[in-house]
Amino acid sequence: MVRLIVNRLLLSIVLVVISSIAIFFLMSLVPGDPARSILGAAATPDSIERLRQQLGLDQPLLAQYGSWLLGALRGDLGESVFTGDQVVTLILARVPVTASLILLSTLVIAALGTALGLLSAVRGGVLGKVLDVVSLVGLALPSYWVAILLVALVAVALRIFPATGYFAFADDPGRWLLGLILPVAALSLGGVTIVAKQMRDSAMDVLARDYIRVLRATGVRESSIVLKHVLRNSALPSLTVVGLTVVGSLTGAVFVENVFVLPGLGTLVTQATTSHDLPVVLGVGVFFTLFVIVVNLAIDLLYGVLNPKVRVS
Amino acid sequence: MSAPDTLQVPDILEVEDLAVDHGVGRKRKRAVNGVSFSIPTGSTLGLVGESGSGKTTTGMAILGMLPIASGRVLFEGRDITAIPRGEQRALGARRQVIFQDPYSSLDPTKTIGYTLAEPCRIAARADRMSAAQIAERQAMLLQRVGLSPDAARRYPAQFSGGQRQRIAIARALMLSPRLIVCDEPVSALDLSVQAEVLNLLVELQRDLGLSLLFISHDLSVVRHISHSIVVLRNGAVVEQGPAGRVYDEPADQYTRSLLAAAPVPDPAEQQARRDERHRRRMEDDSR
Repeated sequence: MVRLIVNRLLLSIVLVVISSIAIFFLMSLVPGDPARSILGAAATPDSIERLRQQLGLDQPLLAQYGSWLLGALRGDLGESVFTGDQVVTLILARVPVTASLILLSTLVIAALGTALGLLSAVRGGVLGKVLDVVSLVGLALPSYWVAILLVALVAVALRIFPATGYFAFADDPGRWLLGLILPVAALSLGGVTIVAKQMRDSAMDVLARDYIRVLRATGVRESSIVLKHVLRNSALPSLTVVGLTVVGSLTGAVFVENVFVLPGLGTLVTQATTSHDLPVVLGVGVFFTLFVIVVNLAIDLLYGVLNPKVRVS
Repeated sequence: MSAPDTLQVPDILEVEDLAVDHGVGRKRKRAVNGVSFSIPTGSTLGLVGESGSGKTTTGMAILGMLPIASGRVLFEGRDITAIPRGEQRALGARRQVIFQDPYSSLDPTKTIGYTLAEPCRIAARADRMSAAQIAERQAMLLQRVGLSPDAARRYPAQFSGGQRQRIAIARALMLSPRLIVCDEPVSALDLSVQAEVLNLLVELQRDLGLSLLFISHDLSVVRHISHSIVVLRNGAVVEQGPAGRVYDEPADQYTRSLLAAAPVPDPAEQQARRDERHRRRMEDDSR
């Protein structure tokens, strides 16, 4: 297990380098440059050139990337071209928002998806058929569209939950939760339906197994069969799907944060991209890459906990 | 004056004119129709027939896992459909099952010890075993089926098919059942392992006075273990009687063809049988 973790950490360095190269050169293809954005429309070509020199933008691309990478490997992600703030500070200030959003929606996806899938497998009938259709619809609806729809319906028309705004958990847990209900709903809808569908399929597979028939013939209570045997055995394939949806919700969070105007990493990276704030975009990119690696590692470790076959070999 | 009657041990299982349906509504289809037989206590009844003949369906109905459309199943003299819900569980303890596929019959996420102990936890509070009693019985039964007692700490993936089937037998024995329904218990095993598991079943029956309903499509296996045999075809009984008689003087044409279809380990005999099958088929065609 220790070797698995060490291997993953080594791999993560390689992945961070690759993803940062991709971000760096893709950003260089975007028309316009930060000097022009900073100085605005009134800038003279002369002043723009001076600022470019100050920012190091006149250097060749490879040199620019090289100096960034050297800094990054030492833990220094540079500073924002605009505000001059440390990128690390900027990111850390916004992590709680995105973390709340993704953590809550992962909980909702895992709990609700598992419960719905299990229930429809055991009860079958109408719920199962509804789930089959809804899971397709849930897959097809992009989270930003659901987000806009929720704002229009629930927040603006019905005025049940606030449309925008974020409160830190430490300041006011009640308003923190209230403000996150709609974003989390928008972000988790797709995941809930996929996990529920996966759970339903694997639970039905498990229910047809002979060990379940033996327990039924012996007279073991159905609730105990479902909770002790069906849930545990069908959780394995669902766990993989939960992992994938968590990683996917990172992209979803970028859109959802923008719709609900949440001050998270998603809004930070969109603002930075439109204003060519390269160090910030790279910093968030590195952070997202690390997040994906950590989630995958966590899923692999959980797999070992749930599956004795993995543990034994 | 009633002495001779009360001394006689009643049949453990009596099946009277049993009918079982598959499906509901318009798709309803009768899978078993008018099947009657009985199993004397401590004996083995072999239920044979080709796939789809209703063997497994009959077994499941006896276990109470399929609704009975008509007829009666008497277990220890009591109609199982008339037994109140509360007592059904106690019934589950006295009537156990062993399935064909040893890979699907054990929960891969549970230790063998857990799997063996689980049936004990459903017993009524009064006669529930203590943890120590369960552990003791586990160790005893694992040894009895030819495994080491420390198998209890391991997982199903660490055992071969034959070993798993032994574990399934041990699980069936945990609650000291009177009747075990064996649904093709050796069909998924290698020939040499088949013999071991069959011999184990025969020994256990002799030592514990078990009654067995042995379901199989393999007549040589059934003959090895059964006292009497019921031959099913399309959900109905075509022939029944003592094992020796059904084998040596099959009365029904279908039984004869089933017997002729089973391979024998003697090339000359096998050739003769093949010729016999061929001749019969020609006769059927020319008719």
